[in-house]
Amino acid sequence: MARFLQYFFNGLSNGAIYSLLALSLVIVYRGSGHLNFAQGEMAMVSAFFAWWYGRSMPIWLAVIAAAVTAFVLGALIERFIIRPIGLRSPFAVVVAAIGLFLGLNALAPFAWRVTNPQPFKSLFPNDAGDFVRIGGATWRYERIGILVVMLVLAALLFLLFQRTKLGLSMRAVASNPESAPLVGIKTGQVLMVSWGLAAFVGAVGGAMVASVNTNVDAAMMFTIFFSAAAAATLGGFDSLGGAVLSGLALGAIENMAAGYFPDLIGQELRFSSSLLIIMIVLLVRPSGLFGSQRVERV
Amino acid sequence: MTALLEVAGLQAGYGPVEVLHGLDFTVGDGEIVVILGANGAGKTTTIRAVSGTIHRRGSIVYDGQDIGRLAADAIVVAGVAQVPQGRGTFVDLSVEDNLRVGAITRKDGAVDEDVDRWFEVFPRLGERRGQKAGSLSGGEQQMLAIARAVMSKPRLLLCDEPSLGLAPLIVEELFRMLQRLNAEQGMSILLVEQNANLAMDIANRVYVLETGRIAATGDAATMRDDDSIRKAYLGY
Amino acid sequence: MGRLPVRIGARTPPHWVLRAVGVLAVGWFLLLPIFQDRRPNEYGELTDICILALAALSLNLLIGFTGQISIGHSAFFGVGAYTTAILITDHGWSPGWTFLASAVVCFGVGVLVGIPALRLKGLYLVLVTLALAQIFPALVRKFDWLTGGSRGITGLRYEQPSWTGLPDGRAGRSEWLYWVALAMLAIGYVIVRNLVKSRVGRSMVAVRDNATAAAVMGINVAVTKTVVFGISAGLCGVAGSVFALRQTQANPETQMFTILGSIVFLVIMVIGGAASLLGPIVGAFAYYRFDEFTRALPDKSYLPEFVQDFLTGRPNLATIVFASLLILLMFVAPLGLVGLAKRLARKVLIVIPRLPVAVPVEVGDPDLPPDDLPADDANVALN
Repeated sequence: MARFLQYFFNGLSNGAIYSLLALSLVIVYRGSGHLNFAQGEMAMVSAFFAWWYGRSMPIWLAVIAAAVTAFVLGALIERFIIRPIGLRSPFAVVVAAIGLFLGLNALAPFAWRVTNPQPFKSLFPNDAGDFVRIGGATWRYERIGILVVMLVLAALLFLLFQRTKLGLSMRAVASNPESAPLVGIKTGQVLMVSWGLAAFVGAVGGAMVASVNTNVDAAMMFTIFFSAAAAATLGGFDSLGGAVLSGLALGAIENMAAGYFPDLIGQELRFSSSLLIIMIVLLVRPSGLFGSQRVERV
Repeated sequence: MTALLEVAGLQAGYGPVEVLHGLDFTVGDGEIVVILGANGAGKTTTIRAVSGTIHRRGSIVYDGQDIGRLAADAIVVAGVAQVPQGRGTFVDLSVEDNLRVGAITRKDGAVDEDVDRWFEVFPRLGERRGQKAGSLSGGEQQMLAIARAVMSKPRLLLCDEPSLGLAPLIVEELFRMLQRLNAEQGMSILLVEQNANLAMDIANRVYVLETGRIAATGDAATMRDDDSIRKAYLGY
Repeated sequence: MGRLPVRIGARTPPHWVLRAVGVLAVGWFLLLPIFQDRRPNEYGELTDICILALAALSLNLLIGFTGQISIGHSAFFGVGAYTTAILITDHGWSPGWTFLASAVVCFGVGVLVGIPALRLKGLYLVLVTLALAQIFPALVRKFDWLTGGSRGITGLRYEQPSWTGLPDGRAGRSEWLYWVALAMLAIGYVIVRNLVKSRVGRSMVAVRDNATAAAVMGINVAVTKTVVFGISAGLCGVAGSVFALRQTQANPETQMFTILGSIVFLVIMVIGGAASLLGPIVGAFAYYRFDEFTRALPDKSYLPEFVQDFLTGRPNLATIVFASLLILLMFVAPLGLVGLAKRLARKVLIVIPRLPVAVPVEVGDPDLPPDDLPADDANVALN
C-alpha cells in the first residue's frame, strides 16, 4: 500500500504539470482549432524569463512576471504569425508552429548566452524534512505545492470561462466562430487573448518544472509536451475538466507503470506508456474520453 | 418617414463571383421591409453585405453613419443585428448563455431582466434555459436566434429566411413575434424571404430581387395586387 | 498573342516541346554525375537529398490521397533502416534485397497503424502518429537483443557490383549508393504518380473524407485508405533502408529516427508544395541547401563588428535562422515552392487543357480554366 501511495503521489505531481500544459493546448484549440506544437517551448522560454527575473526579485514575483510576459508573447505570436498564415493555408500553420517549436527551443540559449542548465530556486519548501507521511508513503511539500497551484489555476480558469463576459466570448468563438462576429464579438481579440492565456498557463507549468528540476534547460519541456498532448487528447481536446483529469491520470499511470514493471516498462518506456494509452483509448473512443462530437478543423 | 438604412449601388459576392450588381434600397425608421426572391437571387448575400460578413462595395448608410467599411462586430455595436440563415446558434452553449452572448456588447445592467423577459415571451426556452442550444428543435432554435439578436438592443434587425425548414404554424408564430417587436419597440426590420405570403402580410414595403438586381418595388398592398408578382411569388 | 501570359493548348506541338525541355532539364540535373566527376561527399549529399525526397514523397501520397497528416513517418523510416541493418548483419542478406523486405515490413506496420487511423480525424490522427514517432526510439533501446540497443548496429556497407565498372573503395561505393538512391526515388515517384492519377486515386481526391460519396462511386474507402497508408509507410521504409546504408549504421540516437525526422519530412513536403508530385523533390533540394546555408552561418567573419560582438557566446544561430526562414516561407509561399513557381509561371504561360469532347471551337478558348489553379491546390492539401 505504501508503495502504491508513493507512486501515486509522485505521479499526481507529474500529472499536475501535464494538466497545466494540456490546459494551454485546450485553450488554444478551442479558440482557433490549432494544435500548438510550440506550447511546450513557449513554456520553456517563460521559465527562462522567470529564472532571469528571479535574479533581481523574489522568485514567486519572478514567476508571475514571467507568466505576464508569456501572455504578451503568446498574443503577439497569434496576431502576427499564426493568424496571417492561417488565412493563407491552414496547413501552413502546422509548419509555422513547427518553425516556432524549433526557433524557440534555440532562442533561450541564444538570448541568454547559456548552454548548460541554469540553477533555479525551488518554489516550495524542499528541505530533507519537508514532507507529510500518509499511509507509510512520503509526500513532499514541493510536490503537493505543484498540485495545489494547478488546481487553483484550473479553478480560476473555470470561473473565467463560466462567469465572465470574456469567458463567454471565448466559449462563443469556440462554439461557432462564424456567428461570433454577428453578436459583436471581436474574434481577433478573443483569439489573441486565448493564445495569451494559454501561454500564461503554460508559463506557470514551465516554472513548476523548473522548480522540480531546480534548474532551467532548453530541453526541459520536450518529453513533457508529448505527455501533455496525450492528456489533452485523452480529455477530448475541447474540455478543460477533461484536460485536468487526464493529465493527473496519465501522470499517475506513467509513474505506476514504470514503478511496478521496471523490466517491461521502466524508465525507457515510461513516457511512451501514456502515448500507448491514448492510442488504445482513441481506438475505442475516437474523440477522447470527454470530447464532444463536433465538426473539426485541422 | 426618414430612412434608417440607405443602401446605394451595393455590389457584393464571393471571391471572383459577383452576386449583387448594384442594389439600391432603403429601410425607413420603424418600417418592416421584405426582400423577395427565388433561390440564388442574392437574398442572403444582401443580408451578409449589410451586416459586414462578406466583402462589399457601394454605400451603406445606417442612421447617418457609413457602415459600408465597418467589420461585422462593429456593425452590431452600431445597432444592426442579424439573424443568420440556418440560425447560427452557439450549439455548445446553454440557451441562457446564448441570450447573454447576444447582449455581450451592452454596457447597461439590465441584461438579467431582459433574459427573464424573453423566457416569459418564449416559455419553451425558459424551460430549457440550462440545456445546450443544440438540443433544441428547429423552431425553438429560430426563436432563440431572434431573441439573441434582439438582446443587443438593435434599432435594425436583419432576418435571413427565418421560415426556412419550419412548420407553417411555427412560422406564423415567428412572424407575429417580429410584428410585435416592430410595433412595441419600434424596431425596424429587413426581412428576406421566399415565403412571400406571410412576409407580405407583415411588411410595409417590398422589394423583388432577381439575379442580383432589384426587379420591382412598392407598398406591400400594391405589390400584392400586381399580377406578375402574384404569379411568381404568391402562387395564385 | 504577343502579350503575357502566353496561352498554349495542351498536347499541341509547343506543349510537347516545353515538356521535353523540362524532362531534359531535370534529367540533366539528376544524371549530372555521368558527365562530371564528383567527389564522394558530393555523391553523399545527392544521396541524402534522394532519401529525403523519397520520405517526403511518401507523406505526400498520404496527404494527397487521404488528406491525412502523419508525424509518425520517422518511425517507418527507422523500421526500414533497422530491417536493412538487421538483415545484413544478422542474416547476411545482400543489401539490395533488404529494400524489398523493408518495404514489406513497413507496409505491414503501416497497415496496422492505418486501420485505427481510419477512425481518427485531424488532430487525433496527428497525435497518434506523434505517439508512434515518440515510442519508436524507446522501443529500439528496449529491445537491445534485436537492435543492439543504444550501441546500434554498425558496419553496414553496400559494395558496388563489379558489372557497374565503378572504382573500388569509398569513392565507388558513394557513387553506387547515389544511383541506388536515385533509382528508389524514381520507383517511388512512378508508384505515387500512378496511384494518384489512377481512377481510384482521382476518385479518392474528389471525395476525400466523404465516405458516403465514395461508396456511391463504388470505392471501399476504408480498404483504400488503409492500403495507401501501408504503401506510404513502405516507401518511407525504403528511404530508411538507403539511409542506413548511407550512414553505414543504425542507431537510436539518430535524429532522423525521432520526431525530428518526421518534422524534417513534413517541412520538406510543405517547402516543396504538398499538392504537387514534384514538391517533395524540389523541397528536398531546397531544404538541404537551406540547412547547409544556415549551418555555415557560424562563420561570421563577413559580418560587421558590432554584429559579431552581439553574436559572441550565443549558440544556436543556425537553428534560429532556419526556423525564421521557415516561418517566413509560410508567409510568402504557403503552398510551397512549386505552388509559388506555378503562380509565377502562370503570369508568363498558361497551358489550356484539351477538352475530352472534340469541339474545335472550344480548344484554345481563353476563358477555359488553366491547368491546376493554386486555390484548388490549397484545398487539396487539407481536411
